[in-house]
Formats: sequence, structure tokens, C-alpha cells
Amino acid sequence: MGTKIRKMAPIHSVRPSNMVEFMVEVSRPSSKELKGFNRAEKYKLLKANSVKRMDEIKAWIKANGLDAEVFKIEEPTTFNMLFITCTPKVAEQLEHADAVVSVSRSPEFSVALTKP
Amino acid sequence: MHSFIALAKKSNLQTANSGTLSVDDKQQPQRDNSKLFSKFMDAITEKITGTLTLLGFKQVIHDVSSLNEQTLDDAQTSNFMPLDYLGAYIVNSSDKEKIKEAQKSIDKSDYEIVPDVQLSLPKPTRAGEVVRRRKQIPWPAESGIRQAHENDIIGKGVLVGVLDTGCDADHIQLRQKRIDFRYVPHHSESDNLREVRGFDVDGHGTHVCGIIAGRHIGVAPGADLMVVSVIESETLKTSLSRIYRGLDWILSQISREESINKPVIVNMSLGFITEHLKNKEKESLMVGIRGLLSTLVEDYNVLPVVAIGNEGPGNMRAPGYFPETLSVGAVNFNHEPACFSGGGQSPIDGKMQPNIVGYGVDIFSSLERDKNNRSSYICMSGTSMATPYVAGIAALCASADANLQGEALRQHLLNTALPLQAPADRAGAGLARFTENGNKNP
Repeated sequence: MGTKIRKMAPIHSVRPSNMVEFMVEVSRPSSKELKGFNRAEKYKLLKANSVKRMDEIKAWIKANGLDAEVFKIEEPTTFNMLFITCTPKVAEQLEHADAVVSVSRSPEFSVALTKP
Repeated sequence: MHSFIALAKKSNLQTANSGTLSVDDKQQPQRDNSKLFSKFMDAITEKITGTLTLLGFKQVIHDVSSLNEQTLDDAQTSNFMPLDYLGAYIVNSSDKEKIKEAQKSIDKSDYEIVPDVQLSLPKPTRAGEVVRRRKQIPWPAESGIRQAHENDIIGKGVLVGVLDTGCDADHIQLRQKRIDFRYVPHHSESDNLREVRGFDVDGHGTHVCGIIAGRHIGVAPGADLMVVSVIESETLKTSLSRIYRGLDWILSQISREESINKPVIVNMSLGFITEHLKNKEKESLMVGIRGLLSTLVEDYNVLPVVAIGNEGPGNMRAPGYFPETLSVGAVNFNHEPACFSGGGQSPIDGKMQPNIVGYGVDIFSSLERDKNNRSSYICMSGTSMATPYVAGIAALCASADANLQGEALRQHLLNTALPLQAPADRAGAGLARFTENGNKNP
């Protein structure tokens, strides 16, 4: 019997203590503009928009020499919200980047499972 | 007794362990890492021990029985206990001022100060015994469920998303069903979404799924489920990014060719605890939820069915009170609002909540399998149980008429609800029920 080799779980890099997660709301096509598209088309359009905005923000961060102050950018979703772990300084400056609507701290919270 | 925990900063520990940092030894970066780490730990331990001792705190060890009486008396007044493996100290004192002084004196570059708060966890919900045999369909005639099932309206062609603790996909009530499941991990960079057989970290989600679509006990046994597990079992914590990723997966599923025109309902038997959040964090949470809900409703025509919460009249949980959702309160089988069921004026638009009610007292449904792989059942109470009842009713209505989606489905449920003898802030439009022809009187 051969020994089964199990894949080791990756070791997560530790977030530097001076960086926190921020929610970066980016511009997107309005619901009116999306009328007439079906669900799949909307999903593709909105996701493509988020990816484009993320690329723009990455480029903006690089152009402003802030790479070292950004730890992680979450994979974009169909929602127009990007989750970026960075220093508060970067978050403050991001407010001025093109396509950024708002920046706010991403809260971690508990949920009540609505049990009595 | 007042207390706090001083926790050695992880970033320091990591850099010390990797050999790139030491307290006073930067000239010898090539030294053995473990020696460096232990030297680093010794240095910060010495510092904190000295600081606390100077302030009059006594060091205690885990085995308190080994202390003599005098030491024990002192220790009970102001003490600190090292937790070596964690690199942490628990600091206690009956004197609040002394605790504050200690917090101020500890070097914050070495230690995080964590308040030792008491957590108030939701009370146990499990009413009665765990049983292995299922009962007959428990739903009363006025719900219209029996009538629907007799006419083969069982939720076919409808997709129900469930955001919860997971789902035991091998429970006898659920194993024949198509259940798409994803676990959304906290660290997205490792496994973005884990595609695994459905499991439940708590049992709550399995009960909810059984009410929606259990084979014999569910309101809409023909509905397809898409279950996302986004909640930590131990802490019941989650984050907005996790919820966004989970819902994004649901939206990707409903955008597939075969699902493109199917009605979609999302069940959320949960509410966010915002009391401990600062105002700015609360504002952020509201912005985040708003963005989510408007996309779900306006762009994808999804109906979010959300529990209003179990803190009783005058209290509500987000996102239940957002106008984009169908908020759900609980009644018993005599149509009396449950004492725990929340309600009141929404802080968002001032409208009365809940929008509608469902059966939520002593609801019989599936419980995750035991260690011997046996499926079991239990009665639970809560707006968590009323919500999947309403989601199931919504699935029946949409199954009977696929044009009923999103806002149209919401309005249909409100228009056909059975009015109850209770004020609007307790029962909303009334009890959700299935009416095949859409009339008020089935």
C-alpha cells in the first residue's frame, strides 16, 4: 500500500498591523443602462466593470508609488465594491482616484442567527 | 473583577521568528532563528512582567492550588497570568483604575491590549428532544401548502439561495436534492470558494434548508437550493467581503444558461449585530448592505427574504429593515405573534416592520446527522424558522407562475397574506400563504 500524499494547506501571509481592509465603492453602469440585458449579460458586464476598475486602481496605486502600502486586493465580484487591505493613508488618497465613489472601513461583525 | 488580555503582536512574532528582527541584536542577523525568537520573547516578557510587578500585580500560574493563602489573597486582588504558548497575559484586578494604569503602562509596540469582554451568545433554540423519525407534513391547511402539493406545485423551476452556516447535504431529507454548495473561507487568497459536499458548521442552516425544501417536511420540496456557508461556527463572525463573495457566487449560478429565466429567492435567517460597532463602522456597514441589496433586487430581480430578529417588539436587525427586503416575523400555529419576534419602524424609510409573518414557533425540521450517520430532526423556534417558511411559500407561488419574480413576487405575497388580529408592527400584512389563483381567499 502506497502512502497517500496530502496537499499541504498554504501558509497565509500575515497582514501587517498598520493595514486594514477598506471597502472601495467604484462607479458602475446604472440599472437603467442595464435594462434590456438578460441576467447572464448583466453578470458579465458588471463583473467586467469591476475587473476594469480594479485594474485602474492598481495602475493608480503604482503610479502614485503606493504599492508597498497595499497588502491585498480581493478578487472583484459582480458588485461594484472592491475590498482592499492597505494603510489608512492609501485609503484616504484613493478617494481622489478616478472611478472611486467612496472609501470606508470594512467592518467585521457578528451575526445573530435570529434564534430566540 | 476587571480584566484585559495583553497579546504579543503577531507581526512582531512573525518577523522575530523569521530572523529579521530582534530586540537588541540587529548586528547579528545570521544567528539561529529559534534562538533569536526566544531571545525576542524573553525580552518582551521581561518588560511586561516588570511593568506589572511594579504596579503591584502578582504573577499567578495555572495551578492556583500551589499558592499559599497569603499569595492567593494578593493574587485575587490584582494579578496576571502568563499564557506562554499564546504569548499572552491575562491581567485581572478588582480595582478598575489599576487596570487602566496597567493598560497605559504596557508597551503597545509589543502587545495588543484586548478587552476581555463577555460574549452574549444566542440562547439555545433546540426545543424538545432530537428525534430520528419524521412527522407528517406539519403545515396547517390555511398555509395552502397541502393544496399546492396535491396539485404538484412543489417549487420546481425555482432557485432558492441560502446564506447561513451551511447545510448537511447528506441528511435524508436533502440527499436526493440538487444542492449547490460553497464554503466561503475567511482568507480568499488561498481557496477562493471551496466547492465541497454540503456541510454545516452549526446545524442552523440544515434546519433552515429542511423547512424550505426538505423531501417530506419542506414547504417547497421541488425547489433547487444554492447554499453558501459564510459564518464561523465558533464566533458566528463574518465580514462584508465574505457575504459579497458568497452572493456573487449565487449570482453567477443564476446567470447560467439553464437558470437564466428562473425565479430566484435568497433566504437570510440572520441579522447583523451592530451594537458594538462605532458610528463610522455602522455607516460603512449600511453602505455595504445597501449596495448589495440594490444590485440583487434592481439588476437581478432577486427577492431577499430576511428575518427581522428575535429581540422582541421595538427591535430589529439589519438587513431585515431595509426596504429592498421582505422582512419576516414569527407567529405560532394559533396565529399569535411570538414574544421574541421583532418589529417597529424601520430606521431607513420609517415604514413598519416586519412586512409579513410565517410560522416560527416549534417548527419541526432536519438536524445535521449524528456521529453514526443517522439523520435526525428537532423542533426549533425563531424568526430564523419563519423566514424559510416564507421563502418556501414564495417558491411555491413562483413555481405556479414564473412571472412572479423580485418585486412582483414580493407584492403578490403581501397581497395574498392572511390578515391576522395583530398590529402591523407585530404581524405586518399577515401570514404568508400559497394561493394558487392569487386571490385573497384561496
